[in-house]
Amino acid sequence: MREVVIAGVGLHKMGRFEGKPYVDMACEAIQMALKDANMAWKEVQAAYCSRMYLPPTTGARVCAAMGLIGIPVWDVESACASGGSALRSGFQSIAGEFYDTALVFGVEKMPRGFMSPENIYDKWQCYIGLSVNPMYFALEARTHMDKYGSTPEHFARVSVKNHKNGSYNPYAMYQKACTMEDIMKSPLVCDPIHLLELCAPNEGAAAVILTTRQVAEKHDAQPVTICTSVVKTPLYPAPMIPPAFQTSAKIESPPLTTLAARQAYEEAAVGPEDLDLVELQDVAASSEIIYTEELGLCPLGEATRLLDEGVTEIGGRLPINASGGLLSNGEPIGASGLRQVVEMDWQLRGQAGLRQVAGAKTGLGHVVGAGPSCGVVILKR
Amino acid sequence: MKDGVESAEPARKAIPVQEGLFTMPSSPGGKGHLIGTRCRSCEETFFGRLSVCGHCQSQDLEEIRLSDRGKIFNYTVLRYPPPAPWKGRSEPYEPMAVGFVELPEGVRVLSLITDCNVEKLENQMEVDLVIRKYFEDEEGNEVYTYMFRPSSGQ
Repeated sequence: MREVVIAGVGLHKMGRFEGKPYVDMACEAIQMALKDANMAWKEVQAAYCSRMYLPPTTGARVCAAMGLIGIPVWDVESACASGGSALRSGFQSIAGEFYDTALVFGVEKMPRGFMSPENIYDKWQCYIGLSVNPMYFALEARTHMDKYGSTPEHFARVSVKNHKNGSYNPYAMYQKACTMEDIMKSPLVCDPIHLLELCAPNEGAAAVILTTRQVAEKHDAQPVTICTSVVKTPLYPAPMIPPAFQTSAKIESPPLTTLAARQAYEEAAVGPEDLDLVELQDVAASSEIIYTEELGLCPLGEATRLLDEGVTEIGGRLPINASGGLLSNGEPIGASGLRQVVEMDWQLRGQAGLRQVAGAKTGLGHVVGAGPSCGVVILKR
Repeated sequence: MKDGVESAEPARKAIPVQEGLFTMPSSPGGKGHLIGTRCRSCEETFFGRLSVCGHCQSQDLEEIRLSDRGKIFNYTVLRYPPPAPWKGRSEPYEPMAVGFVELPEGVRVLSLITDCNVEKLENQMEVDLVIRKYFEDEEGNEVYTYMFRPSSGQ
């Protein structure tokens, strides 16, 4: 396998953009990435589009608007892990020498209000109400509380941290810090999760240009290496991730995130101790605590200690979700995983402005989605 | 009947919300049960009818009847009504408890937890199976689902 680098990145702000077509949003992110890579559109040889709520052939429609250049275009979908799956598709196409330059982009415009549960759950689950995503996050949070003594205050503190980080991110949907009181007094959605501890469905777009080091250097770009990009589905038994409605009380397997992370560390020859920053799936504030442990960033049960000691803040030893995470950016599903990659690329190149993690050289990105599947990417500058 | 044409309207029926998960009560006041599948090869047990063992991939499976009594493994309370097409009552909405119920066969089943004070539930609480009508569909059929309720009552 040959080395794969990111030659350029682009991002459309996360939020709500009434009346703005998704094609325009995606094209803005792609143009920005091409400019960053000092490349022309016609140098792209293949494209992978991550999306969930947009229509079939979204990728081909966006690429047609960029200009018809005859390239193959694939839509890639794996719910909240779609960005990780699309990145992996682009990564293997360059590593496997099918193409020298590929575009991976994500775009989403989600309906307002509750996400339609019928995309994820069987009809019967929807009819009786076992179709509420935060219910699963809450069940996992309560298991963590029972096992390790984490508290609702710990989860609220994650939300305070990520909203503070988001206040430094001009691309975030919410750029406003919150207090503990704001969070604990926001409505309880599913015990112990409050409204301000859940990410919002929204809109956005992100794009990355993947190529070889030689091509990137020829274009005078600032390459960031993709050490590896991993996608995993679970081993038996099913984890408590939608749409599972049963699991085993007799057999245990490592959590899905742990399976993906272990493979990524091995393939990248990078360990958790080598990481300078992490962008992970804080779909709920409690999820950050759980995934911090499942990614092996600390022993099980100790993520709350990392949080208490400020380790995961910007300026700490291992900042988590310096971008503000999903809690500040929202989760435009197709764009979200690639937004993390764009953020880390900026961080590793020292271009993250007020939220810059000083001297960051190695970063890890993580997405988990219904199905379920999980993506982990490790980047290095 | 209209214009002398025989009504072809089918009789209203009591039907399960999903085939293969539970049996219907055979008579009023009768009890149904949860359908389980046991793998003869690895002895893992599942909720519902399966054709392949999710653990060892064997197809040597037998249908069993799962226990009517289990324990709450974990639970939460939905403080807002679930999104459409949920068929429960939203006005007024009463917060619903949901959780994984652990059965003696070694399977945890996600379920509504009913007939309880949601503020007084606890992990490890004993709960019993209930199979009851949840809603009426567009054809007027009574649609049943499985649920669990605390054994002791509250």
